[in-house]
Amino acid sequence: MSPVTLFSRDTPAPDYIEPMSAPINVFAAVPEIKLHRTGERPYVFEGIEVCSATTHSPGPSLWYEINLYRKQSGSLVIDVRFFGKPDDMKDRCRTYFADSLDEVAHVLEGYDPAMDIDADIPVNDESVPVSTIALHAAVIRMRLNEARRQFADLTGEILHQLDVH
Amino acid sequence: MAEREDMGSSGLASSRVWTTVSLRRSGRRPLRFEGALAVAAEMPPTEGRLGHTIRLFEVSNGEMAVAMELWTAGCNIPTSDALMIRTAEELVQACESFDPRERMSLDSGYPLSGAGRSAGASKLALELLLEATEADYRATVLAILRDPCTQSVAAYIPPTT
Repeated sequence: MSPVTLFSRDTPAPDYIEPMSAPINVFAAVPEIKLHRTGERPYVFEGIEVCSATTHSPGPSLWYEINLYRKQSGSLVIDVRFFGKPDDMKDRCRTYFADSLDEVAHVLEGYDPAMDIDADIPVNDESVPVSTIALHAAVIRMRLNEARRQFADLTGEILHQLDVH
Repeated sequence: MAEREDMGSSGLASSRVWTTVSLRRSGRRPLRFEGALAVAAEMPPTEGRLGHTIRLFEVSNGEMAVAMELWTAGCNIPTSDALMIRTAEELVQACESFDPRERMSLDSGYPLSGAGRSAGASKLALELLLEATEADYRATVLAILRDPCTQSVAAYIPPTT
């Protein structure tokens, strides 16, 4: 079973990409979708979910979720969500826009997960031993590598399932 | 030992039925071409060890493609890469460039406040997992390279001019 949940797959796969540029049937009931955005007001629009995937699994302290929506106008909305398990990691939600699956690929290929990892090393606190600072730095580096690996794997899987090339 | 699946060994591109193949690549669009599977080796993930697959394809234009995937137990999304290659030497380089050590998760989920104790406790187990996974992968690469079908396919590739 594919880890990527594809929606709106009523039509055969070869025809799947083409309807992306066409507007949604205005007579059909289109649900309102409200996306949470960190540091910004929510983004609200009418559309449908195209696909959804997550790297969540037992073990790692962080994971990503990507949801792709198609607006009533035919354009696409990319919802990238970062989740951290320990208390010292903050969840983050970002929204991007695209007019085609090719643009979606550009957005995902260019996303840098480093902006989701906090580098809060207590370097100005002289009471903190150097060894502790070094350990913090190592953990941050490990989280950064993990975030980059997970996001790359998720991007590769989504683009593979959407057949973007 | 990896389970090996020989998908044919004629090595003659003209005898193949080509189909559209799409191969996952972490962080990038998939690699897409007309081709046929030539050799595949797989080791499923088990508790304590990562699984992997290596697949070699004949491509309709006379080249080859190699796909490598690393699977973690409990996670359905692999770390993957795929490359077009022209020679047996490039096949070796492609397999060796996909280093399981660099692609494995070292994140055991502990918070910064408890990093020292948890990191120390898990370091040995993690190192053992890394070594086992790397040894498994290298053994599969060697098996793929020694496969008569691989050598046949590699020999068929026209030399670069």
